[in-house]
Amino acid sequence: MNELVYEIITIAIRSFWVSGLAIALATTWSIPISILLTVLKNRVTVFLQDLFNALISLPTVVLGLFLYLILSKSGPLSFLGILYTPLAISIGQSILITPILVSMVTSSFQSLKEEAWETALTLGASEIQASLALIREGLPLLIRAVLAGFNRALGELGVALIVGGNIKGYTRVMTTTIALELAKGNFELAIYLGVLLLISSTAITIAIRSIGVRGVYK
Amino acid sequence: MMKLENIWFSYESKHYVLKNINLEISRKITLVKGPNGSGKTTLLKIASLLLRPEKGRVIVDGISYWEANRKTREFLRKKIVYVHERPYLFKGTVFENLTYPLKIRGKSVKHVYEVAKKFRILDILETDVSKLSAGMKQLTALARAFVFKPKYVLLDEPLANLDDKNRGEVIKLIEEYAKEGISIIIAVHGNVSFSKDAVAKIVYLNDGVITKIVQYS
Repeated sequence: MNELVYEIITIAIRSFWVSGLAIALATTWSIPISILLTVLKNRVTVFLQDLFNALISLPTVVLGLFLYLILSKSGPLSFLGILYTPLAISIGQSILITPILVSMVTSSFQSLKEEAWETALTLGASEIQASLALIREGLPLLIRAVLAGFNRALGELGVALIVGGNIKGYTRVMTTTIALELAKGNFELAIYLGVLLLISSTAITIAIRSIGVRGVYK
Repeated sequence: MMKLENIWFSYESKHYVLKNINLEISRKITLVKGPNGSGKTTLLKIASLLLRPEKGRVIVDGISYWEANRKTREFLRKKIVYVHERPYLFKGTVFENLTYPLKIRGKSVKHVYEVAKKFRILDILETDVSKLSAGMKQLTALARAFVFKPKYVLLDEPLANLDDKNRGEVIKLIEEYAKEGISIIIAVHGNVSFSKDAVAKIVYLNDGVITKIVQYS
């Protein structure tokens, strides 16, 4: 029993750590992209926004396959040597959740553009200062998007399985363990992890809802 | 001096909201009058450098804004403040809102109390803006606009949310600031009683066209 608890805890910690890094990476580039899509309104940015919206439904196995091809021994990024590592999963998940983050953050920023952004500009702010004002005013909505992205990363399977390799004690995360244990007919661990994943996901969803409501109506 | 030269503007359609606008704003108060939908807000947004005209030039202190480089644009923009008809206040307290224009300019915030007293919002400086009435929000936005004494202030229906008492006070304050040398453009659709000494001109706008300009000496 102790061994089982230990395994569940280590897998859960690894899952949170890997998906946490993924959301951190995705946030660093998604916020500047969202600001640009909000501020620069032209045909190119409208097209890019549509593209990000479409990529939200990108199948994880397709992304996993694509990443495998470029990270494997014959791929162009093989020299990085990160295939079958937690970092590869984090990078894959960060790419997977970027469209979600960009779409949610851009739509939040667009709702605040005429208010926060323009007010800052009309008070003499530079574009960078106005962007900071936009981030500050949209912070609850931003946190909401980050949590939604984290939720998606935590629950995805395709990328983690293909570029992580499901190596025990190294790249095995909650979703890949569930898939493996189910295939082996070992339902106990799969059910425990499934319940844990469900609890995490529900807690995050409640947090998103609570932050979203406060952010919009405060 | 600010000059609008042959300004044409439309919002993503062939219908022009402003048609060949020519206007000089040099001193005191310029009143822009016209019915709803006549183009007053668009005119103010162009003068406040928020909207780029399709044709024509916006010249601020001798420099054509949209032809200038990024640094010059930022320098020129710091001279102008625009207050929207339904002003937006940043999350936080009234004090934080009043200090924002000063902080981004690296200026001292000591004048905040003086301006807050003038606009009768000294007592609510520590109040969260979400708890303010529409009138108090308007007064805070106006105080925020004048707190660093910009060269040009553009006000869109500044008296809309105010009661009669505050209206009179705000009119007096605007006239005072105009006498101190701030050029103020005010868009209104009804009758507003500014003293003739404070008003430089009244511009009548209808369907995007200036139909009449009344100059005062």
